[in-house]
Amino acid sequence: MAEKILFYFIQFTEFFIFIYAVIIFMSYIIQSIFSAEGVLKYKREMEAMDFDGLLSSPFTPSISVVAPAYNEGLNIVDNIRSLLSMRYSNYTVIVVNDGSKDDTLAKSILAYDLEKMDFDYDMKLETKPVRGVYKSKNPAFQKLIFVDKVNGGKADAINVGVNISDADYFACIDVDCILEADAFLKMVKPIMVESEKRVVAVGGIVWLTNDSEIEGGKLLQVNAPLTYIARIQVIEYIRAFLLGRTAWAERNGLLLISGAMGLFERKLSLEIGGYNHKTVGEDMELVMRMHRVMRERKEPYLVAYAPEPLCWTEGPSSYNILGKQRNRWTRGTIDCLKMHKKMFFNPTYGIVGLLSYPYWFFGEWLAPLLEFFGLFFFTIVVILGLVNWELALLLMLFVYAFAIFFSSYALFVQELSYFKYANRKDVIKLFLTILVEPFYYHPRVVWWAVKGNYDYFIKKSHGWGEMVRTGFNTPPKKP
Amino acid sequence: MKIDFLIQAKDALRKVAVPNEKVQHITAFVSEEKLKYGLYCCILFFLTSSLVILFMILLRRTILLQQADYSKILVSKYETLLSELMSFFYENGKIFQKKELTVQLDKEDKNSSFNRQILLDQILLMKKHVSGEEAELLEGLYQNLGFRKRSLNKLKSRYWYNRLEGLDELILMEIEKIESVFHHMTTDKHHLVRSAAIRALILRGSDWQPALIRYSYPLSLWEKYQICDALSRRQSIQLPDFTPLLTSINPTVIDFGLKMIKQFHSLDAVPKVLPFLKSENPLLAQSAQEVMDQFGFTEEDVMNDEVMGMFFQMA
Repeated sequence: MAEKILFYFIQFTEFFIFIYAVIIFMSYIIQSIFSAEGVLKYKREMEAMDFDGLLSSPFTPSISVVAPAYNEGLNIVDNIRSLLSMRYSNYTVIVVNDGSKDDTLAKSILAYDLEKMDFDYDMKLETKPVRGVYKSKNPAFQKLIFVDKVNGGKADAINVGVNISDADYFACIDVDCILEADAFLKMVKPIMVESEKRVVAVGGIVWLTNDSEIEGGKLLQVNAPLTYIARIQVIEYIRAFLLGRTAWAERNGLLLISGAMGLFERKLSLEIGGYNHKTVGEDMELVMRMHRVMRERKEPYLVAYAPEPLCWTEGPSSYNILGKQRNRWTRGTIDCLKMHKKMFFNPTYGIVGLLSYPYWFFGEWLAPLLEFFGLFFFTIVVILGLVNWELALLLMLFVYAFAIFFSSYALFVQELSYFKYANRKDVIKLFLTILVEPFYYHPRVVWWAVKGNYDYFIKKSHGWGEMVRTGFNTPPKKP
Repeated sequence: MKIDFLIQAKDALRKVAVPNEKVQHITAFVSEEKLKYGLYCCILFFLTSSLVILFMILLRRTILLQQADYSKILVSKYETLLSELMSFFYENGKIFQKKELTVQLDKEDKNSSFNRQILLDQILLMKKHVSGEEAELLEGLYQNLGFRKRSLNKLKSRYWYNRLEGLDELILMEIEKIESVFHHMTTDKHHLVRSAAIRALILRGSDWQPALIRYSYPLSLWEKYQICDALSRRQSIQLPDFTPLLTSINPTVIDFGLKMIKQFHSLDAVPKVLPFLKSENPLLAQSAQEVMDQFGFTEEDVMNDEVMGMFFQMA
């Protein structure tokens, strides 16, 4: 009996991993093709469109920028200034201070001459109590609404902003991000050009600013980060935002719009109950819920994407903090997949049920676990002396070569689209970073994901954890 | 003792796990040699491609920089040429003819599409800033240098961006007798081409409404914005009559008509708006209501035949 079990186990594992790997590689190749198509289409359309007139057009949708802030005292003044200087006419900025323990509120009051006022709004979404709504006495800051509330987490803070907003769309922005001045003009593009479907959400590319030149909340020059940990995150972001998400958006199967920057239809968000504050993957959960509701209603809709770097943020600069972030992402993914398991291979949900969800299940959640299990399995077969070393090394080399190729291709697509790294040395640095990723960085990513699973299923951990920021105005370190 | 146990365990496992003839490896489907060969080829392909990609990125940057430098030289050259042509025109009262023009241009200017595009861009740029005789001179040049034919050919391209480029060139050069081309382009498959064609008709003062009434595609916000923008830029001060748009069978065109009636405060159009208050299409009913709100009609006014009758008489 034991003989048979072991025999079938080895045989099944070998085939399963082989077939799984083939499907994953194929999916990456298909994503590469679709993303290139999407990026070029977007770029051509943007080149042919003149957005300046939109600033005074009655057809531009109104936007409320909702920026939750928790202990952001270091950057809050610059970040609000950056949000207020956007090139878009029909918008308001709603900063929600989520019970910060630092001087976020005091600094904002001082810098923007804020005063507490009575502000009528419907509490359509249930949230933690609001302590006060502030507006500036200075007419120059009339677009700014500052809300102070009891701490309730990011999702709760955004829900307060959605309650206060009266716009067609709300943009969810991490207050510590720097936005391109015309980010909203570009983000409304899919809404403006779509004539047959209801555009319920629009995502954009988030890019990293580590070691770039920033002054007064404005990005002056983009540099490749000096540290390996930040550089490899740049590569990861290019792969995820430019290739992965563009490709999924091309087929209306995008499941995740980054919490750092996303535009959502306010009406639908209110109808479906706003952000879910019971998960750390609230950004992905909202998009999945939008897909689910719209598919169930059988209403034509679109979750669109602007494949252009519109939002800049600082990536974690220590492995400890990065590990916590990835751990959180893993737990968020599991949460979302669990909450919407009804869509798994369910044809009612079209491409979302048949492709996007299974991709996230097998390609995002299961992949690191299988990789970890693969190492364990490999150790057993090594002990048993069953390894065909030549073939095994060849397979490993194949995986390595494919990883290098895929990352290089991502670098090429970003070069063709909106290349931000003007310096050739930066490109070479990024390429060299790719070469060591599979040995040096990838095992850590796998480990963080496995730990995330452990924390989720065994330790039942569902919290956020804190991220220490150094501030955008810190001068770049000398090489 | 422990080591002995491990060796024994390993042998036992091996015994059960490797009844060689039974285990179906991947190589059962494809021979090991073929698999290895395939893997070698793939590895070589991926690694070489990665290096080629890096090389292409760096080479592309070099080429783009060189092109930028070269185009600066060409821009300066063509600026001089165009100002010489202007001077010739003022001195002799006539423009260069095709034969004379070709003398002015060297072989590369005539044959290289890059050079020709820069020259065309210069003509178009200059055309934006001049009017009267100077504009006519540039139009003459545009035709004599064969750019008009080139623009018309672009309209036949299978790629929308080429069609749009051709259309933009023709619009900017304000070529006469091509109204039919613009009308034809309002039925284009791509929304940017369609909206550019309608915009062109509006800016030229042509009859644009029939084209819009016949519009079979739903109007996007972008198209609405483009048309609205063109209407506010056109030279005529006469307020257009938007009521014909309300006869379209395309609800998005009707909605646009209602929005324009509101935007341009067309009080005369109100009687034709009324039927849409009871439209089955909620979008149209809402837009019609917004028009009525704009003119200060309450819901009760609208329901009251006497009030509306008086209003119609006054209108």
